[in-house]
Amino acid sequence: MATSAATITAPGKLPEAKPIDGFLAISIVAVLAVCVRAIWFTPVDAMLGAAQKIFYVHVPSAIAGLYVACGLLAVSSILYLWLKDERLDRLAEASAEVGLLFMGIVLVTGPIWARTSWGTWWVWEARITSTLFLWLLVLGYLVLRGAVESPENRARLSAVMGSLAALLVPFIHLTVKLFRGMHPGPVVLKPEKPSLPPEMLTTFLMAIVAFMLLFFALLRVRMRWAALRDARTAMEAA
Amino acid sequence: MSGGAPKPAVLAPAFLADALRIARKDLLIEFRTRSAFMAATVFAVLSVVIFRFTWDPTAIPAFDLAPGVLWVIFTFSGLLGLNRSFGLELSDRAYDGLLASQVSRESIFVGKVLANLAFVSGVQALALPAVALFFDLHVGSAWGVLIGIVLCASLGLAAVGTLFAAIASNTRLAELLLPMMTLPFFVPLVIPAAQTSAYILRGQPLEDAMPWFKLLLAFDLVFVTACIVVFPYTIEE
Amino acid sequence: MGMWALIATAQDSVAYVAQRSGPPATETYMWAGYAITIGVLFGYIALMASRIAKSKNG
Repeated sequence: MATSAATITAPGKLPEAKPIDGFLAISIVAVLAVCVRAIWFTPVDAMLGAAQKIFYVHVPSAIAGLYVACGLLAVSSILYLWLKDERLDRLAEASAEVGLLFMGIVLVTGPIWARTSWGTWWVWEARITSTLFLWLLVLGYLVLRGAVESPENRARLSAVMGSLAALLVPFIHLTVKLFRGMHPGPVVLKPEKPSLPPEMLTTFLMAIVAFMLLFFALLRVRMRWAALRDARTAMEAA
Repeated sequence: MSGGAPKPAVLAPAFLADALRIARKDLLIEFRTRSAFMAATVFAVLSVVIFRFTWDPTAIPAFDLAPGVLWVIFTFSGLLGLNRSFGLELSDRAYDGLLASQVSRESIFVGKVLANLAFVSGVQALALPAVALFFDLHVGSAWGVLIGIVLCASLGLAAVGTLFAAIASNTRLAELLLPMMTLPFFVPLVIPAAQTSAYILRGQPLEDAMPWFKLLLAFDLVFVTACIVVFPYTIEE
Repeated sequence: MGMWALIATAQDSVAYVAQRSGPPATETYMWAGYAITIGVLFGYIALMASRIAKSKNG
């Protein structure tokens, strides 16, 4: 165990980790800039008013938290079982936590938007329901990680759960879709990307880029801290 | 059992025999104390009574409420049984003894799944008639299909639940962790089962509920296989 | 009559104020959404900063 830590850093030295490095700084600026553009420099939707602009943070967060984070979690868990590289375990841990964050944003901004367009805070619409289940799944994954003492066991057991979770996702989608298929969803507004006028489309695309940058920047910081934390634990154990 | 490379013709019966032996051992231990089974059945019957007394028959017909009740009971009484699944060996480090024997990891897993399957089916054998009785359900010829649905769902629950019980037994908060980890996995199992039984209890033929039933069967197929494959990774080298 | 109709529609379950022309006034919802998003993201950055500090010095 101590040897694998030594391959990453010199023995006795802690790995480098800065809370805000250049990449994160740039992505913070990007996200703030896109928010400013969305709020003040993008036209207001005629039917829904200003609340429609939540779309510019809600959808990019969903792409980052649902597709990218959960995809990374699944792949790194399966690869860890095969390759046993602790960096894969740190990637899994980081994608779970940062993914939970972004999915949380989706689950809070979604109802705010739904309230204005559909009149209710919650609606059992296919995608937000799947997001809720995935959020709970990833939360369970993180609780499991917190409950296992030994780092090797933690990596191995959470990789097992991560791999099974990867298999579960298509089943959740199918279940929710089948369920929604029986009860027609709201007719007023489809949550799919509507055909957007050019200024809104530009803002939307910029938002996707900014949020993806932020996601990867946070992922990197989180992984670096995990390496620092593990190296410290190994140092203190030795 | 000889070490070395067993011939395939000899391997299959040995695997099954080992699994059945382990299942029998687990069930015998449970049968002697009966504590988990009692807890699960008492829970099931109490739940039925509570649901019955909080139900307004004029507002909701029985066949609309009963599937939900049935499958909630199924899920939580199943969890009660799963908790004790690996706890049996943890005392006296009997698990290490089991692992050191010639028995393959996969047959340990299948054996425990079979034991849990028997447990869950046993509880359902009591809960189903209780629900039918208290909610005055006219099941009639649909009993066969209903039992089939329960068995299919029990298989999926037993496979996934046993695997997560193995994981949870390595942790400090096993009783809290097991429901937290498994409930999202039970969703694509319990919802199709509930929907299919809703169709059946309303008197519709199984063909109408085929999409749901096929989803249930697909879940069983995929997850029983996956859990068998992944189980050895839950064991420390 | 038009006035009563306006008041009646304003009482319905959808959370916007009906106006004679233009889009509904849903700014508060927009601000709430953006505030939560920025708050959560910056909160996490602060959390990471404190965790890193603790690992380095703790």
